[in-house]
Amino acid sequence: MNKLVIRLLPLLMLVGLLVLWEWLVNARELSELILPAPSSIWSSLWQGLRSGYLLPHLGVTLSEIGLGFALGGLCGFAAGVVMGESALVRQLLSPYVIASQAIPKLALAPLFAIWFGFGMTSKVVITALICFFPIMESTLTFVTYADKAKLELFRSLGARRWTILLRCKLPGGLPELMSGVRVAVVLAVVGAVVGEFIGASQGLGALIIASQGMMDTALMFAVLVLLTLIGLTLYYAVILAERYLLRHRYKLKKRS
Amino acid sequence: MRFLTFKDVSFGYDKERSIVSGVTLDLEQGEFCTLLGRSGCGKSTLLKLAAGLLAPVQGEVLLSGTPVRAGADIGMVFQSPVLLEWLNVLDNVLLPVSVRHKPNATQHAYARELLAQVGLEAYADSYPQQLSGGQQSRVSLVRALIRSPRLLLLDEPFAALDALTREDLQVQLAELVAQRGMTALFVTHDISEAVFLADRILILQDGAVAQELKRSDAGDRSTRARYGEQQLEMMARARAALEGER
Ligand SMILES: Nc1ncnc2c1ncn2[C@@H]1O[C@H](COP(=O)(O)OP(=O)(O)OP(=O)(O)O)[C@@H](O)[C@H]1O
Ligand SMILES: [Mg+2]
Repeated sequence: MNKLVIRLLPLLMLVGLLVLWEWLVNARELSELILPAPSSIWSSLWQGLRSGYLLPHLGVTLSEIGLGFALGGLCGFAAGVVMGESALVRQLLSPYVIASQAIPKLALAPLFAIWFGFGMTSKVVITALICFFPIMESTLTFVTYADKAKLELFRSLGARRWTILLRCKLPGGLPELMSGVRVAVVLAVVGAVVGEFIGASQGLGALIIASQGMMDTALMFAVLVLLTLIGLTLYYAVILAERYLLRHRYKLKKRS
Repeated sequence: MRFLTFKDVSFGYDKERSIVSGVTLDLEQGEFCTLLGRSGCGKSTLLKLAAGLLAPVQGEVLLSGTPVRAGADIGMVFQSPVLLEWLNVLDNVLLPVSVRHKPNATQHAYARELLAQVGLEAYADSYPQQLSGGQQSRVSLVRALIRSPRLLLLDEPFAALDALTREDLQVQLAELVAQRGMTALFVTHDISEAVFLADRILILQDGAVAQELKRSDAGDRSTRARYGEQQLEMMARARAALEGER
């Protein structure tokens, strides 16, 4: 009983804050333009979904997130593996990788708009670029710093490099990889939205810009709510995948 | 027939310090050799040289006349169990097979049989972290046996076991090695274990074989022999050899 109350506490707090917010807006008669009340945000969201107005935008942004994450993730994984396995490539590329870390990737969005146009491609590319780094780094880490004793075991069994990578380094590095994936999915949302800010006719980011132009702050908040939900859903999906993939290791930790 | 040969082998992890120095050694096929020495004297290092996991700085290690390489027909038990936490016990045991190809039914059955022999038949589907330290070390022993290698290299495989389990497993191991005609090099710092298991005992001191003791009653591994006169006398000699070289 007590535990249930404690678990529900954050939810209660949210409800409390919303009520407070609603009351504040009404009592102070704040302009809808500055701070719309939760009730009008909700009605804007509900109508947008029911009329189907929001759906195409949602679809476009989700596709950009999905494609960008897949592209950036695969490239990051491949780059991490190649750099981890080949000392030469690592030596060759690591100064560039470090240098490219210093570039604010989102600042490249206008450039990509010039290169790839104002369609989905430029957003997918910026999303991919932003997902690339966390995945590459976590992959590079687990490939390079695999458990010495396990590597020795595989070597004593005459395992080939490919076998060692797939059967020792990869499963051993799964927790590391998943923490990279967790960072990447959240960044993917940022990448897609910022890409759409630069110039797009469709997508939730474009809708935020449009609602600014229309002075429809309630709609802007509704889109922000949607984006938050997307981020949370992706984050928890990764957590669930991680739980599943590492289920044996988790189960045992609890026991000891 | 000479099976495993060390020819004036020296090794150091860095240039300054030599860990194994000038070891010359011959293991006959089917021989059970124990390697006895104090902690840090280079036993594990010597075993890794024999497994081809380390390359000698000087000299050479030969297996059936050719330089040994990692992945040869050798079963190795490392000092720590090194089990893969993402595989269950059965799959851990089958690892030496599965790095090459998918294990067949016979190999599955043999893995279960070996697990039963070390008293772990109920744990085939458990995961390594669910096992005690001693159970884990038994799994790693069984893993080394799964391919019935011709050479067994064992690094204190029984160190984490209670006295009775240890005695049981010593007898079982000796029987299995004899049955299958395997050659064994067994590292331990336990004098009674070294004497009980061995056809020949090598005393290692500062990375060199300081003395060799041969048993006259090799092969008798009954409980009576374990606490017999001869065993005690050999133990005294081994102890003296260990101490004398200080
Ligand atoms: N990977 C390594 N790098 C550098 N030095 C090492 C390494 N492994 C072992 N040594 C050194 O080599 C010496 C011998 O180590 P080794 O592990 O062979 O001893 P051991 O006889 O097996 O000891 P124990 O009975 O405690 O297992 C030790 O002094 C140790 O410090
Ligand atoms: Mg050792």
